[in-house]
Amino acid sequence: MNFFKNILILTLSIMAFNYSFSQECSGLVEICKNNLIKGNPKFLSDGQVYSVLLNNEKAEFKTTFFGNSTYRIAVTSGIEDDYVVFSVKDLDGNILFTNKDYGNSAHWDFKVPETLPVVIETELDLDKKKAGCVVMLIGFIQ
Amino acid sequence: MNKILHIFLSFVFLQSCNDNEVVSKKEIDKSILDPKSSINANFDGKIFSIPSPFQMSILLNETVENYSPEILHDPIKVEKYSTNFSRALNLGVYSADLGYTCVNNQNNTSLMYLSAIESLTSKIGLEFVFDKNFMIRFDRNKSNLDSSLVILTEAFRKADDYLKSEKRKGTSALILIGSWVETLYFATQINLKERNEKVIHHIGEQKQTVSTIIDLLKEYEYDGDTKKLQVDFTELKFYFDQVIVNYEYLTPVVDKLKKQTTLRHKLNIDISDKVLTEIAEKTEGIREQILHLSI
Repeated sequence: MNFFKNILILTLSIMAFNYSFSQECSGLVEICKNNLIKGNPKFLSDGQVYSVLLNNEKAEFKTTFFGNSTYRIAVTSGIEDDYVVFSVKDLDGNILFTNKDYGNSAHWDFKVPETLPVVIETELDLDKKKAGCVVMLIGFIQ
Repeated sequence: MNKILHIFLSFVFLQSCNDNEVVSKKEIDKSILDPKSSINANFDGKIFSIPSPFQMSILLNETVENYSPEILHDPIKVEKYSTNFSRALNLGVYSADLGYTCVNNQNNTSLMYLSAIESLTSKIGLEFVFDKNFMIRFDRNKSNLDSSLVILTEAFRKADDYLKSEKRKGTSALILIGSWVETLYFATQINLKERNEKVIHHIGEQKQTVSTIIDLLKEYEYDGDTKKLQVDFTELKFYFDQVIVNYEYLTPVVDKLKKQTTLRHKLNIDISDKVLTEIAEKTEGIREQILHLSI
């Protein structure tokens, strides 16, 4: 009986744990959106929300920056703007940009004259935050 | 057992109180996390990105002036889609059609596609995104392309956010796949009608996305319905693998004040006519398969 009780408690705890992070991610999207739409002309969202729970690890994904476009990458992991480190690399591993060199800036624009497949790598700045949800949004203007 | 539970519960409590506090990595057992949750870093270490259908339509519109309504899907067929699988894929198709009509300033036709999208979204639990307020806002701004694109892309971002937070990443992925197929179909058909080197370039640029889509379909293999699509996309990848991409790295230029980096690389894409035809035919086949689901 105790065994089933423990299983039930464990299940409920896992649900609470997931819910807590889910809520955290949802709240961050709005903060991130503000970084995406700052300034004029307004960047158009690519329609996707990239969110990931990080704990002393990196998340990466491939995307394509199309030529004759300007892209904005906006990131957040909380109220402070400088929790997240992100880097943009080409497929050969050359670092094209890292916000680590610019105070972990929460957004950065990329003027792309010619199309390029890229890898975007994201991690938390462990000196500032150890674990949590990271949200990234990508916008573009032609 | 009780000891383990106490440690675990303490962690959950601490995490929800203050996520800035030091959390020892040892305390998190990743196996407890749901692999299909959007908040899970252990999502096979992958986050997926598929080009925006709106951006593809804008790029095509900049290259080709003529509007080609014959390449669009029929919005009247929307009621025939009866499964989550067919609805999600065709929601993607109609989203791309909406993007294409919008950037070509076909306002009345855009409203027909918007109505089709509203119908599909209401059936997959996204009715709050394309609700009456949205329709009114879109209608008021429809003559201003920039504003209407902001409104539309925001709506799709909201839908994506909602689906992911509700652990419906599979549905989100299918919408993206449907929209990508439709925009690739636009490009291949426009080029078949009148050869255009820039459009051919845009087709070649999609090489990487095909691999992303195959990964996505494998991820949602449990849905069953994705098997046939997986086979088709693997064939499409075979043709895209024959697209030759030559890349030369050049150091980007940074403008710290503007918070802007300008890329300076060179990228050449070479596709033979044979491969181009094969990509066009395979894309048309996949699109037909999607359009005729549940009909």
